[in-house]
Amino acid sequence: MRDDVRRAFDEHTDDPHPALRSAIRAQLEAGRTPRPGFYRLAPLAAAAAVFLLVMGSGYYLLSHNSPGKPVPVAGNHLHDGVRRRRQQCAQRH
Amino acid sequence: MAVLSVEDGTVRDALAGDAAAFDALLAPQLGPAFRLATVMLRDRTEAEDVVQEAALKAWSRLRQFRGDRRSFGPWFLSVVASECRMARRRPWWSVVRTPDPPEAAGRSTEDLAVGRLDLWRAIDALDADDRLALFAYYYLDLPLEEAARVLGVPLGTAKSRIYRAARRLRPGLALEEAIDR
Repeated sequence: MRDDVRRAFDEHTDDPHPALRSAIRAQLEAGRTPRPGFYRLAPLAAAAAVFLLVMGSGYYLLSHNSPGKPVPVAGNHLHDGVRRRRQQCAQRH
Repeated sequence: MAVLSVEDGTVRDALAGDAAAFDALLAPQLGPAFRLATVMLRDRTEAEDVVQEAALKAWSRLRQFRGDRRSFGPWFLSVVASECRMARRRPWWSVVRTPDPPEAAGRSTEDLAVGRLDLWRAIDALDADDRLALFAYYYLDLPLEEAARVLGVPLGTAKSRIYRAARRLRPGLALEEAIDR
């Protein structure tokens, strides 16, 4: 088992090109650091931005297309009229 | 395969920030690391990129390395394996993925019980972590503890993963035959 598997891996994989070591050495000497993990968060950040945009625009549309302030109903006018008449009666007496 | 053979003091110098010492420490590991990455990613170009990135990461994290020169190899290979997993998880727009081999589709475990000629096909049809388990244990000839370190799993999990992968190649395989030392 071990020998067969080892042979299979040996036959189907190769050593790296010598330039790989040179490239790594050059990067080490140049003081290059590994890529920051930020790019891995980029899709998440993009998704969050889209979500916020959709929520924000939805809120804006809802708030500007809503029925608005309630229109004063007739009862309010009647109420004002009753109050006015009561004041007139009080002034007469 | 010898995993590591470096001169005394190289680890100490590398830990002290000597890039040349780290390069010397790294050199014997590049072959196994590149083969490991090729096994996991099935793509030579991407494997080279991953090994480069893993080398820089290992250099930047070298202070976290606790061990002697013997354990540097498995430690670095675990960094490479981790980079390979991340490369496989990268979004579709940044990685050209090779499809799984067509032989894997619709084949039962019994169908994968193959002779030597088809052994590679059977290995290639395994998932990346199972291929890594076989590679670390059988090809790199790592002891079980170090294979577990490369796999990034506890010892028992590594043992069962190796056994499971080996059984997919040879269904009737006994545990003692798969984990032979």
